[in-house]
Amino acid sequence: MTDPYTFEFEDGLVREWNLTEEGATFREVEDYQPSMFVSGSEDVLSSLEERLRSDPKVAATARERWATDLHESHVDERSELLRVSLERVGEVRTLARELRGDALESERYAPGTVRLYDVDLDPGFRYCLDNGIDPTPERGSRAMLGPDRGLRTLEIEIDEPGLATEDVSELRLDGDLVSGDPEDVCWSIGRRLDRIDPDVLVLSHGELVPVLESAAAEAGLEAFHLGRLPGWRRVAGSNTYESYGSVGHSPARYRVPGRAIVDRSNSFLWHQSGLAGLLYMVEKTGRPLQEVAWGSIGTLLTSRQIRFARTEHDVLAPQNKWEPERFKDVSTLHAGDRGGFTFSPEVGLHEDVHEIDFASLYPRIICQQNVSPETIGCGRDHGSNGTEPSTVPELEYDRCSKPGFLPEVLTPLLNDRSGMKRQLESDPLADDEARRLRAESGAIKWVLVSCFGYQGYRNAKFGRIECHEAINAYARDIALEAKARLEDGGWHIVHGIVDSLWVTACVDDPEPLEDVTQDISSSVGIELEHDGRYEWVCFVPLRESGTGSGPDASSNSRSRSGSSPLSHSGSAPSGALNKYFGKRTDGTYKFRGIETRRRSTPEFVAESQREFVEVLDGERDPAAVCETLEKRIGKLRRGAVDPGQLVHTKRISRRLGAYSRRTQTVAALERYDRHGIDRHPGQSVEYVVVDDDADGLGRVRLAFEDCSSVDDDYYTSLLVRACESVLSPLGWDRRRIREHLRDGRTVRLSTFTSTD
Amino acid sequence: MRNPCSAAYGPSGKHSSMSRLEFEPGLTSYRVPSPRSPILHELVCSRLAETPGPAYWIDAGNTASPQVLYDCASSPRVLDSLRIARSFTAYQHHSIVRRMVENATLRTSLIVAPNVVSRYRDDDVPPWEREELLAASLETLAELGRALEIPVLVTTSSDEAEATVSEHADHTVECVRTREGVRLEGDGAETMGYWRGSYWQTTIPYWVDCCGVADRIDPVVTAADRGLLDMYPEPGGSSGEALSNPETEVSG
Repeated sequence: MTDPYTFEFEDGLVREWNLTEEGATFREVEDYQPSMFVSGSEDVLSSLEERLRSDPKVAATARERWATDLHESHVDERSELLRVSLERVGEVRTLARELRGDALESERYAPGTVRLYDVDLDPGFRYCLDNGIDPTPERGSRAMLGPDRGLRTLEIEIDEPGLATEDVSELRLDGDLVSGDPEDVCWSIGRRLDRIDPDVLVLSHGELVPVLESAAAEAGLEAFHLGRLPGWRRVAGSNTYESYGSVGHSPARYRVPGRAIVDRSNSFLWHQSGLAGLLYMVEKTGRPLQEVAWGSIGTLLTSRQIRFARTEHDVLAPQNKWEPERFKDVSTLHAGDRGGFTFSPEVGLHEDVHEIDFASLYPRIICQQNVSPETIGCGRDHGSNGTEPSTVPELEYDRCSKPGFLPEVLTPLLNDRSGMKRQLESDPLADDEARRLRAESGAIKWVLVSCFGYQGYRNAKFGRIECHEAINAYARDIALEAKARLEDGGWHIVHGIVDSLWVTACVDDPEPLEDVTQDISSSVGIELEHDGRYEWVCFVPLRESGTGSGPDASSNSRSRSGSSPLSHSGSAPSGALNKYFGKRTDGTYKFRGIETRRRSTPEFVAESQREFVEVLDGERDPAAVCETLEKRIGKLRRGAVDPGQLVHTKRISRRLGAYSRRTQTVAALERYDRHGIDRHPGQSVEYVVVDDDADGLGRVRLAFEDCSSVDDDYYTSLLVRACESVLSPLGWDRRRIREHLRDGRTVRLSTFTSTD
Repeated sequence: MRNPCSAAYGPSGKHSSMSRLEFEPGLTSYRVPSPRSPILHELVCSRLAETPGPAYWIDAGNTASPQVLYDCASSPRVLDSLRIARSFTAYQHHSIVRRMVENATLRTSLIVAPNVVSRYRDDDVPPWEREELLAASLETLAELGRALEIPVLVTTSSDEAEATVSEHADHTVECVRTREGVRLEGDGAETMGYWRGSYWQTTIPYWVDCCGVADRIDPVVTAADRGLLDMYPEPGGSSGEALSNPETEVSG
């Protein structure tokens, strides 16, 4: 039998659920005692131990030897720590707070001299870690399993207004509409639960748990319960937080017995890679499914690190980041601060462009160069016999060659991902298998993408700013080496961001690109892959850099790279690093950073912009694109665009009362408020602009409200902007587009009469 | 407590003829106009240029921009004796302060801690912990300054932070942005640094350049100060236009 996969913690009791062929069974564990650890001087620990003996929360205390950080483990040292075992998992944080408070109040020891470990582990993860449980669920034999590993799911959806008013008369069960009295609906859900006996509940909103349970109770359906046993619990309140400068909202979390809940409104990974991706991360992190579902990528990476640190390195998870940067001189700081290497994009249209990528550049650097919190600045080389440690380029940091922690954490993920990619490319696979591989590979991608940034994140438990800087320094080194080799081979870099380079031939007979990239790959030790070939690519200027709009900005001048007759000339405007679009040689388009890729852009505008690009591709003439714009504007003004296509989706960063300016978002929030729908920072609002000049509620209509007319001028300006993004690489800005629409146009009847 | 120094403080190196600010031993709290105000960089460079011995910078909020330091230093070598460690959490900040106890000696020329309060106001420090931890850091810094008789400079940029820090500080200095530029006022009354007379010609563009504060500095004021006019203009009067390029507006 496999290990249990979902857990409940109630009143000092743990209920473990195991999957069986038919459903699931549980076992109740009464003697689980979660632990936290304390480091400090001997007299501090003794007095704490003495005091904790009489604390009713504490089950036992003991002395144990652990490493308090990665470096201690790296040099094979251990410290004596006080282990404090508790009666209940929910009391770990309470005790931690008391201990820290006492330590602060006491005159005897300064803050920071008493440090705590293993305080903020999520309960399921902690339980699995303490008991060596692998919570990866599986039903049946592995060979027979599809991407969902034999798990049974039921998906329940409710729409926003229904949730706000707790009106359950209309729901979707696995996509099927179920409507009627709350009693009927709950009865249908109950029947479905009985029939499927799901292991996983996929809910559009976690709030469905209390809403459905109370609706069923009100309707007198005593046998109704979402779990495999009666009862439900709220395990965390809702919370607004700030991360990387943007505001997010995490809704309250709920638990029902015997089933893992996936709250779609609170699961990044579900949207990226579905259940298969979640299950893969369960295996790689040791977090049970429900805790993987709501975990951010940073949380998942941290869990993997914590598990690895504890099991392989005897290192506990510190509660706070006390370890600071070392003192360094200004020139080192300057070198370290430089960030990743970028080649500024050459604004304009470039023809026959190749995109080449270093596969997983940052994680590969970490693994190849042994970059880890304990290896950078270690001071000695423990890997070989007393030789001098090597140093990080441009920085003074030395680096130990003894295999580091971070590479050990990442290597299996890198290997899995390249294995999956190989399989997907070469083997003929069943649909299910291909779907699983893609989902898993997608999940890994996100972890790999964030592992570098996470090293610099202030609260990363095993992060260190010096690692972040070292990785950047190696990346710059690699970028410069690649550039030199490409130029030797007759290739010119038109744009490059960190791990991707866009190149065109700058001589008539360049060395085959494949030979050049192979050379670079073997020289730097990281695969430089050919990612795509483009008929043409446009790099968009920064909006404020002011593209030329006069007649000088001729569409017939040549770009600096000389690759295109359509490039912008004059004083070269600076390109936006992440705004470009192009046509692949297979005929598909790639868009980055422009309106059509943005979540907030109304579909009609997005679709118009894609058409502008197609016309540009066919005609290579800004005037032809303007003509398309004109048609689009005409369609809008004729009222021939469904308002549903004009919906803005915007993420809000504050509560209604906290906005000082009266924006569209505020108007939308006021309307939600009037419907009694609560919107938290981090959630989205969806609205159509009906009168952008209006001051109050009348400015917008919500997506689900009736809307008879829209603000034509407002949407026209959005279309013009979207057109500007497409034409600005050719030197046409908004003013020139408007001028062309007004004066220079060749007005044809068809512009206004054609229907799509 | 009063700082007896009444001489003007001028940008180091560039105008070495000017009188210098005395750096008092002990903890001095500087109230600066904004968290990353380069006034601090200037003060530090001025001290580094004059005093041998290592100086330590306990950073918070990415104030220790190498570029600004290079710009303020008369030569990059001036910065050789400066060591910087950045904190990203209150715990790290406190740890660096504690590390200073091991590093600082009688030879230390200066310790600076810009935005000394800011990390302790981060959301991830529980309210019950932040004040105690901050007080411990400030007390340690003040004690270092007194025991080793070395200047310890901290900056604040809000009333609340200033009030907290001044409880521990031996001296307080306010960097006031006036129509005449930036003025350093010691302990609320004494003017420690003040630009007047012939200093104007160079200090205005300098500070405009440094602080990016273009408002309130006005060629008419300059002219008045140079004795070309005998009265100040009405508030909001004659100019209104900010100096976008002080070098051209205020020429020697």
